[in-house]
Amino acid sequence: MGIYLEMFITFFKIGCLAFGGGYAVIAILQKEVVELKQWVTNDELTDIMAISQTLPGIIFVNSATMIGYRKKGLLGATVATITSCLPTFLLILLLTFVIWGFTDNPIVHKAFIGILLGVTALILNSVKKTWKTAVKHYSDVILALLSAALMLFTNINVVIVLLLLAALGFAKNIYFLKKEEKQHVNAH
Amino acid sequence: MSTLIDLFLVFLKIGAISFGGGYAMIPFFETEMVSHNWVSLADYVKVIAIAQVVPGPFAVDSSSYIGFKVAGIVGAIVATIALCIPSFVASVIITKFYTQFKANRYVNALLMGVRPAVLGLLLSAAYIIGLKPLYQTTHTFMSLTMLKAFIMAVAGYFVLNQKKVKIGTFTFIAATAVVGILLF
Repeated sequence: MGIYLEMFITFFKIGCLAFGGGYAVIAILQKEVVELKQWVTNDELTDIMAISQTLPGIIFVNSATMIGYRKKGLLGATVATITSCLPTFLLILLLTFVIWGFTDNPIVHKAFIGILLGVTALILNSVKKTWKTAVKHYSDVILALLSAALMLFTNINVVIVLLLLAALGFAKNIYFLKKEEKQHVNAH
Repeated sequence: MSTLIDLFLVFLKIGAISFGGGYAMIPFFETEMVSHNWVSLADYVKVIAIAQVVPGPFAVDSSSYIGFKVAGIVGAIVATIALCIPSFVASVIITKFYTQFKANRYVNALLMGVRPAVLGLLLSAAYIIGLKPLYQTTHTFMSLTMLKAFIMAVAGYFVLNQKKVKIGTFTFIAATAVVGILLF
């Protein structure tokens, strides 16, 4: 029982500290689960973060689940996942409840417009970062532009656009893979 | 009961298809809550603004709030758990079969193949958060407000990318609130 309580406390703490996403969260995990608790090694954490980013879903949940699972199987994964999300769950409901009445105030309203444009800048920044890992070939540029055009300028459901683009990207990668194999065979 | 099942299925779906995580999930949330008439975009963006001072993944902020609006505290719990289930299942399976998975070319072709599409999701998210709420109140793109909003978002991007002064996310968000009050 002791280990689960320890996991509960550690992941709750991580959930409370996980501001800013991405790199900030990696630093917190490094300190809490690698250095302090030694539940995973630094190499394992690097692997975990890399896989978390490729899987669908919430990156933070992916990494908490994987760490919990390595340490204590399915139950460990469940404890890690639920407790790491608990602070966010409680705080957003509480804060929304407290702040909501003020959001119609003109000054608060203007501050919110400013914050949302700040978030827009943060999103543009992650466009730049994603571009670096997503675009390896001119065909990727075409897929990215097609995706943007369909999502911004048409009313096609976003799920359908994503599935279509995923299928195109998959087919394209398989095509290049086969082509490469063929060249490899011819070279011999 | 049927509302809870609806919530569960919708958030399960979002959790399963949201490649790229983070901001790339915004278009999915927006599409579903508008089509189900659960929450207005004007209210949702307020929650995104508040979420900037809340730790943890903002997808959980979104599911908690939308779930709560639709079916109270039970709705919040159902939506959040449903959203996390696909990530949870995928992560457990991956941990078990990581070596086979890493070597599989088809899996890699899919995971790499979907990445360019994430760029479209992100640009769409930037529009939904930055310009669409303003468009819904002014009904035009040709206004001073829109121009100011556009300039502020682009200027913010350059501030984030300059190398001279290191700015934390908190400081940045606080500064944008002040600029917002002065500018709009």
